[in-house]
Parts: sequence; C-alpha cells; structure tokens
Amino acid sequence: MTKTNKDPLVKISKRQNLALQYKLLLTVGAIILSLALGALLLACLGYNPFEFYVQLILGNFKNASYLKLLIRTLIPLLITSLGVSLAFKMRFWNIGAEGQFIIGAIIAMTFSLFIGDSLPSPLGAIVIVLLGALGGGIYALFVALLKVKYNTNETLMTLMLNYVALYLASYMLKTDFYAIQGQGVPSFKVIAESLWLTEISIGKFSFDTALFVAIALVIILFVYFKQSKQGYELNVVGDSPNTAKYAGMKVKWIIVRTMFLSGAIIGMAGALKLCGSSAGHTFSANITGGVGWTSIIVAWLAKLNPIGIFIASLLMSILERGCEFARTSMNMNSAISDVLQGIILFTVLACDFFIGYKVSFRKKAKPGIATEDNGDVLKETPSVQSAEENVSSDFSCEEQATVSEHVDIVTENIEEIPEAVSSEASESLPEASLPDVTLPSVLTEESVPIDEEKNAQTNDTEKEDIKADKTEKGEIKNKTAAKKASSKKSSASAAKTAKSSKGTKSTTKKTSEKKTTKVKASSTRKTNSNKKGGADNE
Amino acid sequence: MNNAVMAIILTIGEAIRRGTPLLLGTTGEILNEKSGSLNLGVEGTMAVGAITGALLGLTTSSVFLALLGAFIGGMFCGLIYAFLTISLKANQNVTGLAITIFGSGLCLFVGETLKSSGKFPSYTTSFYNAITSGGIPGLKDIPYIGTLLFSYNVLVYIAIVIAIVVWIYITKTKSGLRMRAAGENPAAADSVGINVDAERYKNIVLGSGIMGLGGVYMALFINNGLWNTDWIAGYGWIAVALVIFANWSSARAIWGSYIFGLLLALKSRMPSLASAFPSILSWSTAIPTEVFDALPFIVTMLVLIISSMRKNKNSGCPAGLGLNYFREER
Repeated sequence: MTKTNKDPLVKISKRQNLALQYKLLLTVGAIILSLALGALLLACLGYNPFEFYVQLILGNFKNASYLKLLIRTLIPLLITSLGVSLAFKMRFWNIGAEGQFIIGAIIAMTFSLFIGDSLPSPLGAIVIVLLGALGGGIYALFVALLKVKYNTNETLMTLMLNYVALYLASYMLKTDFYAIQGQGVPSFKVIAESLWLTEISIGKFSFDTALFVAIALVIILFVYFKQSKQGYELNVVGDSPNTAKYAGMKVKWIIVRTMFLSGAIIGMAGALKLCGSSAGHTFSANITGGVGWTSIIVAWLAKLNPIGIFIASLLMSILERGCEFARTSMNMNSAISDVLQGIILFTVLACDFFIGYKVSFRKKAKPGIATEDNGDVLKETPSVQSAEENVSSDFSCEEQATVSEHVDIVTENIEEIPEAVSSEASESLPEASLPDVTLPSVLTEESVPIDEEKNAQTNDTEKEDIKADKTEKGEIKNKTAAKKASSKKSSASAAKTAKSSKGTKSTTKKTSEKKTTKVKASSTRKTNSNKKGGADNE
Repeated sequence: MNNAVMAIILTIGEAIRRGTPLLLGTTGEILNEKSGSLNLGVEGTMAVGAITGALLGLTTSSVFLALLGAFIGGMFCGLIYAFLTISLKANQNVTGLAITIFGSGLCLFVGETLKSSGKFPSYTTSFYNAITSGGIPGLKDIPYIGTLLFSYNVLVYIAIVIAIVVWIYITKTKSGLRMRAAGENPAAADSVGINVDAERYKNIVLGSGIMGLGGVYMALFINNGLWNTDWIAGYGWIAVALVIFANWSSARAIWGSYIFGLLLALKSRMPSLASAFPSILSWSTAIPTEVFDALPFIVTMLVLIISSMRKNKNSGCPAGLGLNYFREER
C-alpha cells in the first residue's frame, strides 16, 4: 500500500511454555536489572548505591534483633499477600487489602476491648483473630456481592473502602472507648495481656506465633491451589468465566466465596498484627504499614504461587527493613523502598513479556532459518486445506493444486522472495482473522490493499453517525461487501499471477501463512472472546 | 443575608478550586480509557507531575515552567505505562498499580529528602502573588458574580478549556474517531489501517500529561506549595471513578468534578456555612470531621453502585477497555 513496505523490524509471537529454569532466570534477571536501575536513580540523587545495598543487607542480618524485626515485617506482608493472591487468581482485582487489614484490626480491637481478660490465654487470642478474619471477610464480601449482582467495578470499590476504613480508624482515636483521652495526644488502649500472642524466643531472637499461622497458610494455600477442586475452579474462572460457566461451575458463588476467603485472610493478618508484639499490642491508624500495597507487588512478583509469595515477601521485607536501616545510617528517607518496589514491579512486568512472547528481529533470510520457518507452515498446511475445503465450496481444485505444488518451491527458494512481496503478505494479514470465513482467502488477496483504503474512507464517514458501540458491526458489514466485490476481480488476477513463478511463490506463501494464522486465530478466538467477555468488565 | 450569600459563593468557589485537579485527572483518564487503556496509575502520575512541576515552579518562580514540568512528569509516567502495556503487553491493572506505587513513592521520597535536608524550595513572593492572585482583571471586581466566576487562578480556566478541547477532539475530529476505534475494537480498527498501538501510545502519553497538570495543581494551589507527605490525597482515585460518573465524556466531567469538589470542600467550608445558616445546618457541627473526609469516597462508591445497577445503553464505556491488543491473537 504505502509507506511501510517492509517486514516489521521486530516480530512478536506467542511462546509456548518456557522451561522453568528460564523463567526463574528471567525473573532473577529482572530483579537484578531493577536493582541496577535503582542504583542509577540513587546515584542521580547523590547517594552511593553500593553503600546503600550494603546497608540493605546489614539492616536485616547484622544481628538477631535485626532478624527479629525482619520476621515481624514479614508476617503481615506474607499473610496479606496470600490473601490478595487468592482474589488475583481469579482476576478479581482486590486492591482493598489496606482496608480489609484495617477492618480486621478494628474488629479485633473492638472485641478485645469487650472481652478484656475474661478468656484464658490462647483461646482469647484465637477468638479475636477469627473475629478479625470474619470482619475482613465481610468487608470484602460486600464488594464481591455487588460484583456478581450488578458487575460493579471491584477495583475502585475495594479502593474506596480503603479510605473509608482509614478514616474510620482515625476517628476511633477520638473516642473514649478505644483511646485514652489524656492531656496532650490521645493514644489507643492496649489490649488485655491474655489476648497477646505467645512469644517464642531463642536467645535474642524471638518471634510470635503468628509466624506459624503464616507458614501454615502458605502450605494450605499451596495445596488449595494445586490439589483442591476449588483451587482448580479459581484458575478456570480467572482464565475464562464463560468456560467455567459452561463447565457447570457456579461462577458467582466461586467469586463470592473466594473474595470472602481473601478478605478473611487479610483481616486475619490485621488481627494477628494487633495481638502481636510488632504493633505493641495496640491499634493505630497506620497499623498496616503499607502492606496492602506491597502485597500486590509480592503477589504479582510471585506469579500468585504461595511458595513464590513466601520468597517474594521475604525479599520485600528485606528491602523494607534495609531501607528503614538506611534511613538512620545514611540519612535517607525510607520512602525509597516504595520507589524500588515500583521499579522491581516494572521490570518484572517487562520480564513477563519475554516469558510469554518470543521476539525475533527482521533478518536477511538465511537458508537454515528460512526453511525452519517454513517447515512449520508446511506441517500445518494439509489440515488447513481440508478445513478450508469444508468451509468454502467455491475454492477450486486447480488452485488448491497450485498451492500445494508451490509450497515446495517456496521452501526451497524462500531466500529469493523479494521484500516487497512478503510485506504485502504481512499487510494483508489483518484480513485473515475476519470472524466468518466466507470466501477463500486467495481470491481476495490482490484487491485487499485498495479496498482497505476505501474501507477506511467509507468507514470514517459512516462512523461519524454511527454510535460508538455499533462501529464493529458496521466494519464487518463493510468488509464482507468489499470482499464480495473484490472476489470477481481477483479470481482473474490470481490466475494470472499463478503463471509467473515469483508471483505464485508469493501467493502461496501468503495463503499458507494466512491459513495458519486463520486456524490459530479461530482456535484462539473462542478462549479469547471468553476472556474478553468476563475478565475485565471495568 | 449578605453574609449568607458570601458563604455560599465561597463554598462554590472552594468546590471549583478542589474540583479542578479532579477535572484534569478525569480528562486525562478519559483520553486513556477512550483509547482502550484502563490506567489505574492516575494517583501516581499526578504525584510525579506534582513533584516535578512544583520543584521546577518553586525554584524558577515561573507558573509556565511549573505547568510544563508537571506535564512532562506526567508524560514520563504515561510513557512507562504505555511501553509496559502496549509494547510489552503487561496486565493493565497491575501496571497501573505499579505506576501508582512508584509515582507516590518517588514523590514522597524526593519531597521528604529535600525537606529533611532543608532544601525544599519555598515560595518567592512574586511567585506566590502570581499563583494566588488569579482571576480575570476587571471582571473579577464585579460584586458576587465576579467572585463566583472570574476570581480563580489560571489553571482553573485552563482545565475547563482542556476538558472542552478534549471533548471536541474525541467526539468531533477524525483523529478522535481513530482513537475511539482503537479503544472500541482494536482488531477492526487495525484492519482498516489504523495504527492501534500508535493511537494508544499517543493518547496515553497526552492524557498522562494532563493528569500531571492536576498533580501540580494539588501541590501549588491546594497545598499552597508546602510539602505534605500526601499531596494527592486520593484525588487520583476519585478521578478514575469520575470517569464512570461522567460517562466517558470530558464535557460531563466538568460539572461532575465540581460536584465532587463540593464534597471535598465541605470539610473546610462546613463551619462557616453552619454559622451562616444556623437554623438549617447547626447539626453539622456535631459530625466528626472524618465523616467529611470519607464523604467523597463514600459518594464515589454510591455512584459506582448506582451506575452499575442502571444498565445504561448509551454507556460511553469503550468495548475494548482494559484489553491489550495483540495482532496475532485476533
């Protein structure tokens, strides 16, 4: 057609499953890259990056008391990330972990002030933590119910509930029930000692029983995702709600149930933090310490795998503690941990691309590579042809014969194909994925570029009037019309080109390429449209 | 009576002042969403725009450079978002959240670092006068109406102009049509020769730049250029929700923003309103301020719920919103 008469410089294609070690390698590479970027940023801001990274390690492992702080940071983050991953698994964007955490802690605080020391030591804490979990679960359930009933945007709803919970928490400080209104700054009451979590200490190092809960949850969720029917359902709902529906799963019930569990786990993290020593056995408006946000990074970094979440949350905790340490030792603000977390997430997102897609650059066709490429095409052509036969009755046998004949030539002489020709093929590719295969693709080849331009024009003028949601229909209609019109012309021209050898090569290449994409497209379309239907309704 | 009228006018004025960053954020987000990208990074984009714009503005004492810096800061975030979601096909939700975490963190880090070392720039008198003594000369001296309509800083008017221009661009121009096609049905748009990726890149970067202007507004006009650990304070998230409220039309976003601006203004304006209308509003003094803090968010939730209950056939929501486009997957 016009300017872009070249193969795309970079070609991107989907990759099948990449071996695990490569995935890990890429992820580790991404994290290293992000640390390098972080170092660059630090250097720009006038800090010594090497010193910073040394502090990062020192701040966690200098001695037992630092390690203790690391574990304290880890526990709420780990549990919250597990809760978040449960919702993310089914592509339910629960970013309300902050709020659910706070509500869990608020409920736990409320009941612990009611109960006082009337319950014996472990029982009281268990009751409080379970109540906190219930609170967080109900807070999340509210959003899930709205989602399944009215398809309300869950991302924004959970987010708004964060703020509501936050302001509720800061209001609590003004009440006599929760806080001691002494002279000067009011402070929250400390919960009764019988409700505290048991502290286990080994020398200087100590941790509370919440660590066992966290590790137990890692194992439980690992089994839940991998072995249980419910875990499987989560995956299916996440990938394609429609598939889940057709398979007889109660999608709505799964969403509600999972969201409740997700909120409950996060609420439990809040209650555990309240009862634990890290928060001083009391409440505060910033009790979350930002875990609600960090947990999103952790969950995504770990690809929602519970074991991975354990590792990722450990890394993030190390980062956070290290930044906290650097604050005093290097006089550096600890908000740098947020920046670094953001950068890590950027690079990991970028690395996901290289896991999921293959990038190949335009190359001057080398014999080896070219035949390899065409080998793929060849393998797929026979089945494609038979499929094509069924679909299109007016696909003449002669043309078919020429097609299969010349495929051989193509594979032999592929390096001779002029660039212009192959680019034409790539340009006409869009045609290949039209929803309904009504006409054989060969016929439309030649006239496609011209008609495309026409289409663009007519469409533009037409679309002015048509409402936005109708554009799709209009375009399809236009296209089928254009196809019919072009078929007459092109049957003649196709026959003409069949005689010149180069021309045929190109056509055959075109058709074969087209067919493969067509088949791929049609096979992926089902799952694809399913995804479109349900995954993101925002 | 005079007192009462003035109280109302001042409240509306405060609503417009607080609605303006919402309007800029919403307009930017509409550009993003109409081209098919659900950018949840508004909060972070605004934060980056705020810090770059405010620092540049405060050090050079130039309003223009402040706006330019904010625009570039926003565009930088938009570019990251666009690169990750379009070129690298990353999940839009997660990328947006990453932008928010990164942007808010960057703003906080830079601000706190400068503050703690005592280097955070403060207002020069001329700059302070330049940004506070807004309004259209002559017209703003008209009693009441002048205060109500013509007394605001320059960015309030710029925001309205941007919103209207964006509305015209989206609904009336040919390039707006292309951009909408890329958002509605990228596969169909591609097949008629529209470069979907380019359309999306262009509008994300442009929209994010506009969000950045909203950020610098927050820094310079709402927070008066004084460092505060949370400059954006959730305005970015309200802007995301406002897009739904405005039904993806930046013209509707104008009054939508001012309604939410009113909700945001209530906290500071309620006492004087209550004293102006003691008989009607005396109850308001008993309400804790946290309720007013949470009110915009609660109303946003109500808006979300109601708009989802009402199955709107004329919804302006693009069909391809939130979906990455990959040519080979059509």
